[in-house]
Amino acid sequence: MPLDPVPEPIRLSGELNAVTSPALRERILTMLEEGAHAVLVDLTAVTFIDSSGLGALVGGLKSAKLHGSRLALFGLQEQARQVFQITQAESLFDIAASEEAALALLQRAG
Amino acid sequence: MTLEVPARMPYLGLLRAAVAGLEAFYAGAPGAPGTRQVYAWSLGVYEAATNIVRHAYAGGSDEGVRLTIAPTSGRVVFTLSDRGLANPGRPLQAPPPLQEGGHGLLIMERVFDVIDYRREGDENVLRLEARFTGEARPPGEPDAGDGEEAPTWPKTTTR
Repeated sequence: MPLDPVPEPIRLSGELNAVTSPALRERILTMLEEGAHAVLVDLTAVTFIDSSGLGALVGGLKSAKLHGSRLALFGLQEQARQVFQITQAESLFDIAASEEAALALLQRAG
Repeated sequence: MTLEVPARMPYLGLLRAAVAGLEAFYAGAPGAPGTRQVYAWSLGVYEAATNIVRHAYAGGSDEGVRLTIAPTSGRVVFTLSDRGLANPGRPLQAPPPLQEGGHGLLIMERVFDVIDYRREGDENVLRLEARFTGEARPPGEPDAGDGEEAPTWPKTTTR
């Protein structure tokens, strides 16, 4: 099912940690409250994710489910991916290599 | 080697960078830890330091967080010390799926082979030990069995 409108990704850069993750959490919530059917998070330029960053993404995913929406991640770099692997949180998320692949993933899921 | 930084979030990246330097330190040694392993240690140490800032210092302090790294053959010991509030002690267990918190302790538990916390006078001392496969002997350092082994600590949490 085509996503209409196609969501504009949240594009992050630098570190997703205890300092920066509250802003992400807030942004996802705002999008959902404004009626977003899907949330895309671009992690291409994210160099580091800690447990707080992971917690913000898990919180975003939970909120998306509560709003009947979906959340997908793309562009996850090798090192940043490790926090998902260590905590075995990878299976919770729709993770794609690219924006196009993430959109396709969400469309299939829809 | 020892590095001390103010107990504030922006400084904790320096501790992570110090741990990341272990990859170069062990480079070329047989059984040297790989990039992923060293990155996991740096993440674990960062999580421990974040806990110190957030809990021991209730968000931050100009008091220091001191990291000592003791690398030997097949094992590296990270010791974090601070003068913040004592750790009340929390069980290490995996948070249920879709729980937002608790991942920091889980990361530490999965990354390190031994975790030992103790209060020594007015200091918190957290010792994190990671073992790695192989016979890596860092240049210029004695083997762990050569009589200059890192101090022995009672294990209070092991896996």
